[in-house]
Amino acid sequence: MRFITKRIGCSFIIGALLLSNTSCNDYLDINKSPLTATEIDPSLVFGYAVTAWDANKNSGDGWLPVGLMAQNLASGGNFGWGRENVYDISVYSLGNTWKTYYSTGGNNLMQAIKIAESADPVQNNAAAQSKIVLAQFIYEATALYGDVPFSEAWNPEEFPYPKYDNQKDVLYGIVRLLDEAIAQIEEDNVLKIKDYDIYYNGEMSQWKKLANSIKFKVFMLMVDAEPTVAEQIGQLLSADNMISSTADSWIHKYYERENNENPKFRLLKDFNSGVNNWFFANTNVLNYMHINDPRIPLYFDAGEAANGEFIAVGTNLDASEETATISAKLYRADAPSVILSYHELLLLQAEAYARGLGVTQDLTKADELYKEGVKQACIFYGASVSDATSFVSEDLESLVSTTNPLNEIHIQQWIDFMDRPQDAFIQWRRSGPEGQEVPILSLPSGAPAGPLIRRWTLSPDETAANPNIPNPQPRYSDKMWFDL
Amino acid sequence: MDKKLLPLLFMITCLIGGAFAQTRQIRGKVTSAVDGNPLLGVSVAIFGTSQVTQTDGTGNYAVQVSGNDPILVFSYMGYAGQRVHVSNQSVVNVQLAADSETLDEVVVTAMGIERQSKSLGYSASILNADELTKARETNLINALAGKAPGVRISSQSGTVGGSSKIVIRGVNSLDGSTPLWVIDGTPVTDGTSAGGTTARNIDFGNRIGDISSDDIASLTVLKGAAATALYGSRAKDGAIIVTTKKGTGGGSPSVTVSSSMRFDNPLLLPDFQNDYAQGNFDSGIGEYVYNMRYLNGWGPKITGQTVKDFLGRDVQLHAYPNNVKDYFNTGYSNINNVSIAGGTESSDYRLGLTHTGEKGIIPNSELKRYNLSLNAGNQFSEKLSSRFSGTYARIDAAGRPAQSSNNPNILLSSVYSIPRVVDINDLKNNFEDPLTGEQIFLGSLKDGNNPYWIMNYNTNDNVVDRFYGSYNLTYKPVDWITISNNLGGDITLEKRSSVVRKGTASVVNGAFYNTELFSRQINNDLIVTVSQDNLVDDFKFSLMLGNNINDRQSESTLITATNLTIDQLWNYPNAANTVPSRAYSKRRIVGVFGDLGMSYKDYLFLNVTGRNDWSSTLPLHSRSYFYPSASGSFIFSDAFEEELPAWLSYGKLRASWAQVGSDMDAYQLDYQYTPVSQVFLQFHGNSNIFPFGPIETAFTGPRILPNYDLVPQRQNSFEIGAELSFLQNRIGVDFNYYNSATKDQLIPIDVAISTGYFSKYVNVGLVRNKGIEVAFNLVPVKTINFNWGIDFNFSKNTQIVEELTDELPEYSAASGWSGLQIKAEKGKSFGLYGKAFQRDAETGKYIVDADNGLRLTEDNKRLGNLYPDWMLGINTNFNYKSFTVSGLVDIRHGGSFYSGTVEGLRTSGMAKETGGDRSQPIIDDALVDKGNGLVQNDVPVESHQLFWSENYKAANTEANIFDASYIKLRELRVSYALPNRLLSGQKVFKSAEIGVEGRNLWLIKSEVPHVDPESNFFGAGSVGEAVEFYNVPSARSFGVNVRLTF
Repeated sequence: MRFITKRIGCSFIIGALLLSNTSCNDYLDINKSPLTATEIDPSLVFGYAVTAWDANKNSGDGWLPVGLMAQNLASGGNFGWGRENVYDISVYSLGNTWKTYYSTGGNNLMQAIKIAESADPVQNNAAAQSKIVLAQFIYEATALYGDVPFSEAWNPEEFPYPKYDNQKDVLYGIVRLLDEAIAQIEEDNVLKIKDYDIYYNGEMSQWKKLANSIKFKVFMLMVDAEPTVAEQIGQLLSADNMISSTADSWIHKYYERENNENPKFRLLKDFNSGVNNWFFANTNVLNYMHINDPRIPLYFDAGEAANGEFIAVGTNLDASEETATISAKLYRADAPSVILSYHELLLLQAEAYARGLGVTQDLTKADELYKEGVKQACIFYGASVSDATSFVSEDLESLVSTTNPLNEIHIQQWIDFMDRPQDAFIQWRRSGPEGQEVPILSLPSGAPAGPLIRRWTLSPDETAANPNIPNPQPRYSDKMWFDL
Repeated sequence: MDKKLLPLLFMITCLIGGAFAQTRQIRGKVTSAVDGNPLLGVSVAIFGTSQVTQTDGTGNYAVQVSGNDPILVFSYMGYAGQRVHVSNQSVVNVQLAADSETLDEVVVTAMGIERQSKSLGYSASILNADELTKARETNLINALAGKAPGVRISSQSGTVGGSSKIVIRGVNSLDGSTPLWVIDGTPVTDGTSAGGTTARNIDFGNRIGDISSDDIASLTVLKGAAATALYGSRAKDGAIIVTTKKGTGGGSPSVTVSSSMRFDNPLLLPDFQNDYAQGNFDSGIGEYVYNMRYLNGWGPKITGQTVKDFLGRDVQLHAYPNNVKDYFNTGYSNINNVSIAGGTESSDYRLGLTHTGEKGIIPNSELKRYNLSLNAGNQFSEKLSSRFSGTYARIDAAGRPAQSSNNPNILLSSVYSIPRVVDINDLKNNFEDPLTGEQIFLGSLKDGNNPYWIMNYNTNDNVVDRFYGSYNLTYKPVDWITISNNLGGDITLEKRSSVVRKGTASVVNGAFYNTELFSRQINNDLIVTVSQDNLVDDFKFSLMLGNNINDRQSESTLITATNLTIDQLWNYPNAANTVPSRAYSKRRIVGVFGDLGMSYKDYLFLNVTGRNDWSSTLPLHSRSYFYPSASGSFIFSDAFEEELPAWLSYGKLRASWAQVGSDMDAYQLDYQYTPVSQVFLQFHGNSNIFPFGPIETAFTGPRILPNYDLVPQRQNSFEIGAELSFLQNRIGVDFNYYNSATKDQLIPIDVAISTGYFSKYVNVGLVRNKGIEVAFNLVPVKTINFNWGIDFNFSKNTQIVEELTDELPEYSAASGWSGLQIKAEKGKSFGLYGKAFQRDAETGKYIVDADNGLRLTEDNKRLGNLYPDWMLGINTNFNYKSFTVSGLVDIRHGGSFYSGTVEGLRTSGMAKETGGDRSQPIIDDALVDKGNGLVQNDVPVESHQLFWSENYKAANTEANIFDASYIKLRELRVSYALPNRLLSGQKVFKSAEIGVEGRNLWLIKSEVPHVDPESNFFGAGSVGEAVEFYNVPSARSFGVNVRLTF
């Protein structure tokens, strides 16, 4: 037994020494995660960025509070969603949306660009696709927040506290980024984001049209504050290489498949048994729609007690059983998210001709584009071609004969954006100088006294960590550069 | 039998069963001088060695000694210690006198080193077996509440088997403080569910709750860095050293049986109004109108009017004041423990089995826990000994409710929103259509789930299988050298499942979620101890050198399955969509450490320690880091025994200084792209979306920018203290002052999001905690038959964030819902932040909107401190012969608390304060500016509904913040131990004791309406606390305990 004891003792000591003398560095070199990659294809981060972005835009952050703020959506007061998000933008929405543009969305696009441009061979098309989407991110960010970081953004080592570029520079920067992307596009090169290109399946000619269309939209935003861009507007109109059909429209599709549904549908499904009795027709939209507008029964469902009549309600007033709700059709699972549509572009072009921006003022041409734009909008939202044609030909006044053709165009642009609050909010602000916007909005019931909201304030996450934020920080009611 | 098991069994048999008696055995019995009863769990140490044992349930002990005149040191909580020179005796019986001091107690300190209490240069609190089982708690942590100064306990909820949080001497880091738990020398995990604003906030308990208090011999709380310097980073927030019960050699086996039975009910339920039905204020007609759309209390006054109810019946409205109260069950729990302890002259064993069965106050919630533990030691020879200690624990819990917000299955939200006019029995009997099997909804919109549907079908369960244990082998080549190796492991596999039945509001097609969590920790300590008492006259030296290897691995897999074909078939192919996700982490530390101890004449002690760690998680250039400590104590009552007055019984001064270094989480250094299945959606949280259309897989770059230029975090601390006792230990004071500063914290600090990242790992910040701890013991009455003792445990901690970065004045540590944040701000302690009401600086009155009379608000304001100003625990014990009555009152003063439940109750018009006369408009006592400066408000709010729902909504953070102070009667127990004379003459029982116990009995004082101010919806491991959203109410318990020794 003594022998056994000694053997156990010796084995224990030898074992312990072996354990303690294992090469320390080898033993500790385990700090590589087996669940992550350090090198990937740009399409993988591109796919994430665009999905995260659109999810935000159609969620309780980028859609709901903007819709109640822009007043193309009605909360129904105590009868519906309630007052919680009316003229009260939560710090989370401010922060989550900012994070989408700069981090979860924006930085992943920047990574896609870096990976594509440092690949061998260089993947120019992938870089261009990413840049075009990134340009839209920044367009939306500046339209919502005003002056934003751009020239020093996404470069933490060199610029840990990115400066805030003024909006004019940001918008010009977007145009430069788009020009860079257009120059980078190689239509015949098979190296590109194809399968994960959920918009155009890698068809680079459509990406080029999209880039030009975004440029056009940006110039139309700038033109009141910077009239010289009319020239570029004219050039884009004459070049005629923008979105030219509904098939070219920039659409983010959703699906009926579980987890792939439109976030608006998911909100109702997950929290209200899939039924919309939270969001209602806003008088600021319905009251501007022609009674024969075929979009009315497509946009709205009549209230249960309204006998088929479509009755709207003010932004934050109490709805009732008679009030029309936003339609189940618009909040269906596979309702697409429209980012830039053909019909929207037609209406913008109509505006350019009506105002003579970079082209000779031409109301006839404008009317043609205007009616086609409204018709295509009606068809897009589900009206039959005949109904749409009949509506524009019989019920829409001709721009040539109307007293205020621009007002008519702005009304149709506003109506078109009923389900796209971010675009509606931009459209309203650029539709006229303060107090003369289309439509004329007033402070919603229950909103804090003061002027109308004209922007979002900066994200608290950003203001807490970036000493280069504007001083003083902008307030909700402050106008931004493009907003006269 | 599997052939592979045979060698293993043989080895175990050899290790624990062999007997090689080479030393002399001393046996004896320890009894109480108070009543003559045997004392269980008395520590019996051999002075000058690391050997220690404990008495069993009959007060018997046996130890192996060597040498001519060994000294035995007997110590026991609440009794004066004794030293006995054994000489040539073989039986040493001892009677211990009751005392409020524990002067010579043996304390298990870092690395399992046993030291005399008086030699410690730092504060340590010791709780013995009796303290822990006096009034049994399912979660061991709760048994510490109020019993150790500087230790703050808060239980998260009344969920059966719910988790509890422990903080020692304040929160040190911007990412929280979590003490290290060590069982028989092996660090073990105290993992917990995340809590907070996670999509499914379910309290699955914390892993220390797996431990049975019946298996514990003693528990030592090491509070300061000096106490824990040898454990390094993992113990920077303190360490809790658990020693499990051992067997006793040399006697006949003894069997101990103890049984507790307990009944629970909610400690506190909300006060509801009982005047109004559900409905809505119709501004058109200016009346409150009944409407089945709503689950609230904003309808008409209940006057017996006839309406349709949720079952479509014409009913007369009347209130059911107890409908919520009647929803809850009387909980029931049963804790049974049986253990057998015995051994030979050279070996000992103890085998224990504990069964805990618990039915919660929420119907259908239950927990079963089994603990099988073995502690066996063997002295192979004079030089070689071993000890194995291990526990297998299994927890099987069902019906844990979802808490928090933004989830239609939150049970308490559904229960508290039952309109006052609904009979709970109607609801209970009508939650499911008997023909179609569909849910019967309470509201006509079918947007809120019937609580009985949630409770019966949408359940959250978990099962834990865990083994933790250690094997220690000790070799003494010569008397003064000890080589010891302790190999330990802690392996846990937990399976969590949540199911949502088809037909559930918002999850119409059903779903289930399965999570598997695996964690493994392997720890090895090789320690060489050299002791020399004879080198220099009056001096004793000991030197310990050691090597530590620690390997921690964790892994989790979550599978979300949605859109089920067949109802309640929880199988993946039955789901149209399944989304898996996985997490993995592995990290290692290699350390070498040393401890040099010196003592002079047994009244002056000095210890110097040093440790160097190499961590796998730090950058190569900084993975090695060293940290030292020094501590000393001076027993001046021994040094100046002759000069000091007789009324001073004992006096000790102590001081210590220490530094502790620490590392960071694994895999934070590389720029990594992570495959993801989710994106963020407001109200849903992170939500499954990939594969999305043609996008089969998606990756994202990091949110946290990696940083390779990191150095280890450092914590410097010092403490000074004194222990004094007077009048033959009738009065005792233990005072401690400490000051610790944790700097270079390794945390992801917020960066400008416009850089592309949420945060960046940096060394940043300095958080200082300083405070005092006072333990005051008093024995006002002490007679032969009657003793009264009272202990006060007071602690006051002040936390200050002294440094962040220059650019960052505040750091967001955790978030609640709707803008509530917990932040660290330079120059302040952690606090609650959010939207505050605008107030007039001069009068302090609210300022309201001139248009509607509602209060105006302002963003991002500090709304209160997170932590208490001070804590006080008052323990008292009355002993009369064999009767003992003990009680514990727990007092917290200061700090703030946010209640989402109160918010919900008020905005929905259910809270009592929203009732009363609603016919008159409310004009807030506030100021208003109508264009000519502030004047007294005269603007009425349109309705009571608007007043409460707008002013008290979640986004108005301040409206739902309260003073978190409370006074609680935490524990009360009456017990009777059968005296020896009654047990004589029979051979079945060696001892018997019966007690009546109660826990969490009475919330004597609280500033928070409707809910327990201790609730916390953050996970126990989170920095977040003092916030609750529909937590399960904490339980009040009454029970009976019987302990028999055979």
